[in-house]
Amino acid sequence: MHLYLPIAGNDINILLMVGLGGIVGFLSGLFGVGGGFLMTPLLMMMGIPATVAAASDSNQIVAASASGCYAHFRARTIDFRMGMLMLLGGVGGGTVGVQLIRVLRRLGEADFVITVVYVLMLGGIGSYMFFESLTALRGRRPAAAGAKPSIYRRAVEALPLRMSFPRSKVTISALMPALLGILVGVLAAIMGVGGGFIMVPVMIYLLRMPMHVVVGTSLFQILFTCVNVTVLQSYMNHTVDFMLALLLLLGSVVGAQIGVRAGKRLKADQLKILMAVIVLAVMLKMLLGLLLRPDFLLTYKGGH
Amino acid sequence: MRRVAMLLMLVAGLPWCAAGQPAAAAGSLAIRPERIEINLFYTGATVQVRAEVPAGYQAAVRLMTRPQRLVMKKLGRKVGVLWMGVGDVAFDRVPAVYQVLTSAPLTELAPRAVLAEWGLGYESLVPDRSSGAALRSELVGLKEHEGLFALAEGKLDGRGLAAETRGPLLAEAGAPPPAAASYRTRVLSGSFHLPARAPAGDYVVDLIGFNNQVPVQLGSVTLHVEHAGMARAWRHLAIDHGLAHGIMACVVAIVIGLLTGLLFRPKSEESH
Repeated sequence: MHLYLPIAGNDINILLMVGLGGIVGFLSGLFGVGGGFLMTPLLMMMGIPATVAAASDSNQIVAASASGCYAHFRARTIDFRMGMLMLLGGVGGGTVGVQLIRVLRRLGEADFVITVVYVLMLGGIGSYMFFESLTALRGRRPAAAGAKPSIYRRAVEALPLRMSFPRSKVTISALMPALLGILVGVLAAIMGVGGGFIMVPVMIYLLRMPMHVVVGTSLFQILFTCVNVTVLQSYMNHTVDFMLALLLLLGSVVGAQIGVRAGKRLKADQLKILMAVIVLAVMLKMLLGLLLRPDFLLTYKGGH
Repeated sequence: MRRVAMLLMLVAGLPWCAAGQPAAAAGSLAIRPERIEINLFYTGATVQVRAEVPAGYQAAVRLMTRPQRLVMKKLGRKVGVLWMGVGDVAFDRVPAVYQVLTSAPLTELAPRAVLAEWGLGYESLVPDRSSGAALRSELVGLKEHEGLFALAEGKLDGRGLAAETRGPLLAEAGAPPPAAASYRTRVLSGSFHLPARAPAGDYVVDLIGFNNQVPVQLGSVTLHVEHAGMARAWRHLAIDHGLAHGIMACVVAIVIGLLTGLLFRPKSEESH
């Protein structure tokens, strides 16, 4: 059964879209990522123009993250204070990132720089998470007690405006989440994705937040980011196809709930290793896309 | 008086017009449907073509949108191994949709230069000396893959439809009754398939006849493709009221998300 998408200007299979939304929503609920890095390329493969795929996906993520957020709110696994600071940083960083990408495009090397940074970052984050979680699952924790604090740790502790985040069980400078939010915002704007899969490792490894709070807080931040993107894209570029978003979100909201429940049954290290596998899979897919000759040496402009 | 002068000018011009064209060059072209409505369950459309050409003629029917400048991203190798965008390429006059049906292979209809002059064949869309000529095959390959471009050579056929037609065909063309021998016509038929991604707008469908490799325009009709019903209303909202559309899209998404959250609430919470 097919449906015509008035803004995308193409027809799609209804069941396929609901199913796709379900799978990405599941990942969203499980790991606290928006899933844009997975959904947008899949939609493009199905003939949806890149700009419409990215904008409609943001709309779909609003529903999935609202659904996931509600579940985490009930479970008290959202650190609102941390989330708000990161959100503020993310908005500022996103604005800086958009300007930075303009400069790179003017220099003519934007695509090359972005793609290489993307692959290296995904490879680095994914590999680190994978091996760290694997070591933990094998019961061999790196000796932390008594060890000399790292330069990073000492620098973090020297920052002013220290604040307590009871839900995350950490006391750090308020500048930390804001600065990391800016960093993620810049990277997200350059790479053209929501930033969930960058934000999650940042919260785990740099802010030392517990895994279950990380997922809820990430979803909270993603919800607001995607509301902002959806409204702006609809207003300025008219690229939000609500029909497409509706089909995707019908699947994703259910998938997100199942993902949240599945996440509760898994240990933090199991969740991390699964997240690492997903990040590495995305990196491999991108690497293959770079190494294999495309079917056509031309592509439409637009999208990320 | 002015009308008489114009009539005289027309009569005087007729022999000049006919000089470059074969005698009794009359034909007709009909398409069905003439109007396609894009609604919410639109999955593309098939357009049936019926062309009538003088006996002994070959023919081509071309369906296309208005040509426009098209800028695309060129993919190439960086540092020897990585395939990625390496700049933009512009095609000066390329239609979004271009499909041709012919009664014989294009090369048999007329010389290449003549075909190009009449806008037949992919070379006519991206001429050798134009910008983007080096990537013509890539553009054509991509557009054919999307179902927007098609060259169906020999697919305009007249199997069992050859007929001897009198009167109406030539009356349509407004020509005087010709000699008995030129009454014979050939009826050809075929079909175009427009995929759902073919844009809305007016498509020009032209019938071009070939007599001994000399082309002549025999007919032209317009195919109207337009949004209708819910698809039209939704486009109107999204394009003309983008802000309201964006806010509504977010509100609906949040409401559905929260409702699903309530629906999936664990039983332990429901009992409280």
